[in-house]
Amino acid sequence: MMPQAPLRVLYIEDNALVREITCDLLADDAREIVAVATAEEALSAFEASRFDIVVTDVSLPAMSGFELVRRVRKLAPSTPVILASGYPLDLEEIRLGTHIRTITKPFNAPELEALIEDLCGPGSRLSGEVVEQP
Amino acid sequence: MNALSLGDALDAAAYALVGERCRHAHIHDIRGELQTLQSSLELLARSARNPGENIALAEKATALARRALANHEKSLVDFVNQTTPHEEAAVAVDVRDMVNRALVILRNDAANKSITFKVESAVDLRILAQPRRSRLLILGLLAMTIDELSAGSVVNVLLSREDSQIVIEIQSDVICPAIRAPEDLWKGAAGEVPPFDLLLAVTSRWAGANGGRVDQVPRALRIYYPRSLSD
Repeated sequence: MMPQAPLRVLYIEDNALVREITCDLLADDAREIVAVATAEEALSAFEASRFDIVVTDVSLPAMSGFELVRRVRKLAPSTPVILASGYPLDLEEIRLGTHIRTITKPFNAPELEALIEDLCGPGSRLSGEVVEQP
Repeated sequence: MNALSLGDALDAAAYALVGERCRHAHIHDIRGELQTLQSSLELLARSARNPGENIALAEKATALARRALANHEKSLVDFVNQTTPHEEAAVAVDVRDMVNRALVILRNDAANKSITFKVESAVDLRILAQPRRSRLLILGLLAMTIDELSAGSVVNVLLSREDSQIVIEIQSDVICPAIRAPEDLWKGAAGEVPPFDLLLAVTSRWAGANGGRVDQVPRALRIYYPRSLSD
């Protein structure tokens, strides 16, 4: 029984307090969270390392979450993305492709975890347990 | 409550206009602050489920919840003060900070039209102004600029000093209407005043009341405010 590698989540949120608390809520043995404050930092991290999913705030300084997703999709077209925003987003209007979900603030951790599971498959929401494969 | 003058009505109209225009942005900001409250409460609940195991987590969650509450209170007070007319004393206001804050509020609007703002500023520019009013003006003028421009446009915001005045110059392809006196705004307007006309009249009125002025030059709007003596 080999432990599965943790899901690598790139999380972008410019509000330091939201970023810190969300990391505390999401991080466990099954998930590794890399949290940054700007889209530019996120692109650097994405170019330097592999991530299973990107969770980003839409409203970011300088480069928006939408533009970040466009650039991430150029690097890795099928990367799942969750867009978080203070108001409901229309996926058809956004036109950022497939493997994308939206979540409206204020959301709770189980809601976000459910979206991560929806995009990355069962086993990505394990509340501290290590995934083991036969 | 006092009786309303034409100026008071104009001021209230400006607050309503900019408040309505930036409603989504304000809601976004308030919900962002609520996110910190929501998440810190979840963290508290999680630590409460295992009180003996993780005292450090409980203490951290409590501290975060307190910070979130303080931030949310500040955010709500800011919002109410920013969206309702009220008396304000003129104080030293950092212009670059004011412009940058306005651009943060408008960043989604700008991003949706791929409009780029470039801010060039001399160091430490402080005007003598009512902080909420001056912020409302800049927020409104930049929002109107976004609305008037075509997608992909560039807006230059230049902040400089000119003798005893600080100049906020907004350069873009927007064709600004002529600045009219408040009493002339509704003349021949068939009962309606375009938002930009109203905002320019209020800008001129508020800048003038502080010893400043508004100039229109080709491809630019210049707002002058007196430099703070504490500069």
